[in-house]
Amino acid sequence: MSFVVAEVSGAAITPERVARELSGADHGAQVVFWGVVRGTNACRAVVAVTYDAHVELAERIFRDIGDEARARWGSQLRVIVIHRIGRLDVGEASVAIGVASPHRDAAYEASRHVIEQLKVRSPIWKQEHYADGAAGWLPGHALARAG
Amino acid sequence: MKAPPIMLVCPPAERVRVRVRLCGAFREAVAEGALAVDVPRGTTVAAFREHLKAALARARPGWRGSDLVDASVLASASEILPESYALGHAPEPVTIAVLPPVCGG
Repeated sequence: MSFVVAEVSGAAITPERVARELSGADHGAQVVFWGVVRGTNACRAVVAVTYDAHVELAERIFRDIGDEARARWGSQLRVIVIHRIGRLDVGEASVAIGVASPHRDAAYEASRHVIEQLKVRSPIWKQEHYADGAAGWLPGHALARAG
Repeated sequence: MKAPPIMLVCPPAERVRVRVRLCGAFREAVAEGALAVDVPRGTTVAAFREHLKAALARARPGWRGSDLVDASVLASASEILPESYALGHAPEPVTIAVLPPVCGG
């Protein structure tokens, strides 16, 4: 079993999958964060969100973030990052971050670190679909230019 | 006897076709999500942005995307390309992606 699972997928993310990836006899703490499509944004009623991604690069960056977390909070850390793409209705899970570690402090801290890094470094975009029929791509964080 | 003047003729720069995968808000400009842009071989990533702006303007007249291009980075399948990276030096077809500001989660 890999210590870092990084995946972008059109398939639904299930609690069973997350639990299976996290389980381990040496891990006394598991923290799971679920990102879920919200029904309002900036005072507008949202009915769905379409997620777009540069899949290959996003998965590589998920792995980088997971490896960074293991370097910081311990090599025993297990990190899973799974992000949906495609059109999701309100209430569906768009992302799951799971961290398992021997003790809870590392699991809580690493989980927060992974989701915050994902939001500013991963090539993923969302287009909101509103109740009035309009749609719009959300602004975001510019990626750092290389070199 | 005076030698005739030497005429220097520079061959036209070889051009290379860059296939650009459009991500996020760029899909508003081209619904297919991809665009082909012909540029001189060796054009840097930094210089390519102006070619991309022109191609987007041709593909979708009136679309205001210049600022979005300036806020974006260009990437291969596995990494963000350095601004000084020269397109078309490798023999294989050039395929890149243009990545606007991100908002995953």
